[in-house]
Amino acid sequence: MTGLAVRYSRAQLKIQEMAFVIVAIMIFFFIAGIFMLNLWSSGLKKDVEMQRIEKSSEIALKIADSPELGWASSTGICENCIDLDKAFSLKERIALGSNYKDFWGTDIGSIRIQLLYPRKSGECTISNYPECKTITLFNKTEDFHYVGSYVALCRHDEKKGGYFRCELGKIEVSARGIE
Amino acid sequence: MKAVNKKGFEFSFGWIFALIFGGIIIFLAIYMAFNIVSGERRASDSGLAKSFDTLLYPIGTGLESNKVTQITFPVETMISFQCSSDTGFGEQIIRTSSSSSLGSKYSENPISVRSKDKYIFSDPKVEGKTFLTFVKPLDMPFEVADMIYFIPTTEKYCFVISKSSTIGKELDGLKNNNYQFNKTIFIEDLKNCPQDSKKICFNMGNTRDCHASISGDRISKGNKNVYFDGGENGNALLYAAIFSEPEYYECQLKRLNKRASELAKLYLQKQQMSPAGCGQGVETELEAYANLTASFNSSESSLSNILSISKNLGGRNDRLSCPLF
Repeated sequence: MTGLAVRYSRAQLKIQEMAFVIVAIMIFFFIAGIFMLNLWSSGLKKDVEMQRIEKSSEIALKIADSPELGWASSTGICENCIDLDKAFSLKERIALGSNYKDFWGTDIGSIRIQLLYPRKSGECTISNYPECKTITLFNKTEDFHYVGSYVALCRHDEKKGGYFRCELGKIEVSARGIE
Repeated sequence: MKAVNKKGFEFSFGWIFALIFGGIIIFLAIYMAFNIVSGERRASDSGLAKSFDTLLYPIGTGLESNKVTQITFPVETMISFQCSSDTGFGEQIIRTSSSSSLGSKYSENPISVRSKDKYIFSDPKVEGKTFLTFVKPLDMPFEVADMIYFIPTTEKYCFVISKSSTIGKELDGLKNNNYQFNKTIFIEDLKNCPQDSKKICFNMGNTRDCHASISGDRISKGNKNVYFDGGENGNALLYAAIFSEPEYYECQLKRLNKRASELAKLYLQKQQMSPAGCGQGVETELEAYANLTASFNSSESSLSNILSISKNLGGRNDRLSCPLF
């Protein structure tokens, strides 16, 4: 039996060298691409989160003045005043299946209105309204944090011959991305 | 005999290998760069649309009405508005696309931002860097929504109407409020209107040169007619019909009526639940109003009936000791 000696020519070595360099360059571009993509997507995530927070605060103020909640009487429009009777009615309408859950945006997880002063407690229901603290219009998820603004909660009080009574409250909105 | 050059040109394997792989690498690099740039452009355009949508929240309040707000984008931008009235409250669809010197001027299919609580009246596609908006609430008879009018400063509108009329006075007031608005909106005789302006003619016989002709409660654009309230509710619907296309106006009106119907049901619920018994005596009208607005078909067939019942409802509510709205 005759042994076969393997001989490498200079050209073959050069091809191998070049192949290694090309593979190395490709790996380098691949890693650099992943790094860039990661950096870009994290920046985008932050932007989206900031915009969601911004939008939620704007929405909290806007909702207070929307026709669905805002206080408007023959004496004129009241800035950042919520009609408490209307708010409670809206809660009931939503419970009955009205389309308001996504009306102010699909990002909005929940909207609630809280009476801060005078101090009262509990979620408002037909049996305890208006002697209650919180009207939760809807609550799609518990995961999000709330962003809110202070408002006046007004309603017509039949006592003392009937008058418009306004109390200190807060409207709170929770949205996806608020942490 | 002819001498043959047997040396020729040697195209080694190394060369072929380098050319093929080099070509693939260059192609991949260009392809990836193009994808990243177009992806980035789509992302920034959708971010811009979202910011624009958020920006409209403080503008769209009754408190900001009768005031012109100027919106300036960092670069020339194309904004397209669409309306959908298919489900629920319908949707306002907004797409923005910022101009770029790379590839086509505007990206072809920018991501849309959809909102259910906005009613923007504008041309379907507007281009420019600076835009003007003003807001008017639609009271029918209670506040239904804020109507946002959106005009690019590159457009000119010439209102052929007396300056002493209600609309003339109102537009004059808005012109004093914003310098740019002064260069966009004109109140002139037809012959004095700027050549390149869209002429809005009021109660005129000859409508050949007019972009829109208003006669009574009807607005004609080309061969299409839409109807408004004749200016009874503070001209909110009149401006809406002027600044938008007829089909778009009808779609937005349908959305507005859906919301009006829901609001009427909300007031009914409030009337039934109010511990003070507010709003007793308007139930029948409210119910009829809710049904009529829910079945809104077109401004031609439905609007006059809705406006008539709305007027009765408003009058009855005002006479109550504890009004509902």
